[in-house]
Amino acid sequence: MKGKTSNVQAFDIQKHKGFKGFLYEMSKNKALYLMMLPTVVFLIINNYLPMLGLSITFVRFNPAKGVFGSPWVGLENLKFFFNTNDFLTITRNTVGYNVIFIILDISVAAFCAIAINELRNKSMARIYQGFMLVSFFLSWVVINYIFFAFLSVDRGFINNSILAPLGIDPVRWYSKDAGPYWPFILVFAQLWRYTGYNSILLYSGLMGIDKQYYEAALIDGASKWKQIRYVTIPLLSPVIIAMFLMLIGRVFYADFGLHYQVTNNSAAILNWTDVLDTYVYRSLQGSNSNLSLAAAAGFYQAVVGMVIVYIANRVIKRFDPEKSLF
Amino acid sequence: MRQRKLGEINQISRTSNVLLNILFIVVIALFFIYPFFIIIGSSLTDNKTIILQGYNMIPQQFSTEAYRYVFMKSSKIVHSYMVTILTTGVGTLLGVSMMAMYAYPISRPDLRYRRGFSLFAYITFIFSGGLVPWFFVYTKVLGLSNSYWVLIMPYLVNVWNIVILRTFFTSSIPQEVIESAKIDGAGEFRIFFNIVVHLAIPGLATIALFTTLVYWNDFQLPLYFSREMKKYNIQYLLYSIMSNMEFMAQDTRSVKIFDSPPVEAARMAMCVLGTGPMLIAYPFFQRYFVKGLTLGAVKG
Repeated sequence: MKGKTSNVQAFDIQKHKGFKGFLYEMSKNKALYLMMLPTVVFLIINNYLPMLGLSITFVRFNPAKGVFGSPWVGLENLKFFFNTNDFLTITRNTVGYNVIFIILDISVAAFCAIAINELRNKSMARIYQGFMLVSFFLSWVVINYIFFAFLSVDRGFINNSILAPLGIDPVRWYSKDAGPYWPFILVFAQLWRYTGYNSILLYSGLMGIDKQYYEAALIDGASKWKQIRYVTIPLLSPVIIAMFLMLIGRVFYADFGLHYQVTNNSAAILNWTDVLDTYVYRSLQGSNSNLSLAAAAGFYQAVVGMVIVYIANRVIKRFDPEKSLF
Repeated sequence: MRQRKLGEINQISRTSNVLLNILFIVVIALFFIYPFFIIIGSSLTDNKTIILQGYNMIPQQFSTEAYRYVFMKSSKIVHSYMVTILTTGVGTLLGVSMMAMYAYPISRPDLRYRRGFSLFAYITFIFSGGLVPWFFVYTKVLGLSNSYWVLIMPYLVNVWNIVILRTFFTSSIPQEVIESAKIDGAGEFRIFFNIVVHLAIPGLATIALFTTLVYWNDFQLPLYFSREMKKYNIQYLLYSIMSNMEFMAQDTRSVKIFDSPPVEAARMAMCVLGTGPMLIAYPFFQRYFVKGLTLGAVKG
């Protein structure tokens, strides 16, 4: 079947080359190209136009003159951004949080997926999956409310119902003193939201493992633990590695909702919680906005992010060509 | 020793099974059930009790004052719910149609420029303009700030979904069916809407569910673009209550009925009202979502 269509196609191309061939293809499949038109227009406006707009990084932006009419200042904005203290902090936080997220997300989700797969009572296993997925459907705003109910200084559950009975002084969670706790809180929030989701992805990978491997291992006398160690984990690892590389590609992008909402947008703890996405947003809007800083930070994220995505994709391609994008 | 049944041979021991079950039940009760009860309990607690004792699961002093207070302001909540329903409905319908109508042609082997069009979409994974130019495109070039349309447009197309849909079309729609329809004289649009869409319903439903979730839970677009409360969706209304309580403050009528507005309890009542519909609908669509996830993982 596939051969037949490609023959027909080869015939078409042979018959019509160059511009004439282009016109022929356009008239032959005009309905199909028409279908794609709305998305093509959308991508041009939503994705390609902003790429041109990156040149805002190299001008002193004047709203009246627009991006292309403003005076050219070269690398001045970028230099200014690289010389701020924020530059190192937000780079450290963005990459650091992502690395911790990737390691913990995958290992916790893999544990849950394997454990759920091994449970003897399958109906309970499905109920556990259902409960753990609830958090994935909540918005970050609602998650902020939930965390606030625990962390609020005066009314929070932790200060009032856990620390007070133990005679420990209340912690001012959203203020500077509590900053060092925030990496743990954010990691917890992230795991809480995504473990159910990730474990289902890995669970579906487990479903794809042929039962015969386990039967063969059993005949060879492998215990359940040995089967997990020598059958399940090796056969799951392609899924895990694909997931890992996909996440690595996003290492320069943060989850805006997590860092903006769960921290309640508290300015006192920015040193521990601020990431590129929140930094760009705060520089763009709010009381002390600085457009050239926002543009420079955005440019930095776009360029470094691009390089990382490209490298990650090259690695995926070498490892598993079907999963790579180009 | 009691003989084990055949099906039980290759399973974990009963002891480890019990231990694992206990682990799951404890974790789920602590982290996935308890927090919701704290929110619901607090929303039903007398405001003064909350101020004295903090948020708690069991109302020490039961009161529905918070809900009465919130419902008095219900016009705003109802309005922002309508905004969410409007943007979610229009966005999902339009977005899924657009993504399907892009993914289907590039899945057709007889389309000459399919690689070019795939690349045109995939390039957006690598190159990105970032937030600042993107923001200016919507506000300055399109002039859409503070409109309903800007709460819909940016999320219409997600290239990941196009990738998943394309794979789904390639694997689930036999080319023979399309070709025989062509021989019968059906046009491309007719083939797409009458045959392809029907064969691809599981894939389309998954993408629709993902898109719905994005719109329903969004607070970022109103954060960037909305300037007046009329253009707030429910999530952003919740956020603005959390961040500055303007919603609570700017009302004089309430002062006459409540000597002091039950701010703390009302906050949690709003959270309950904002999450309620999603949690009630959850058991019904959860199954489909899990199925769809599996589909995406295996084929995408």
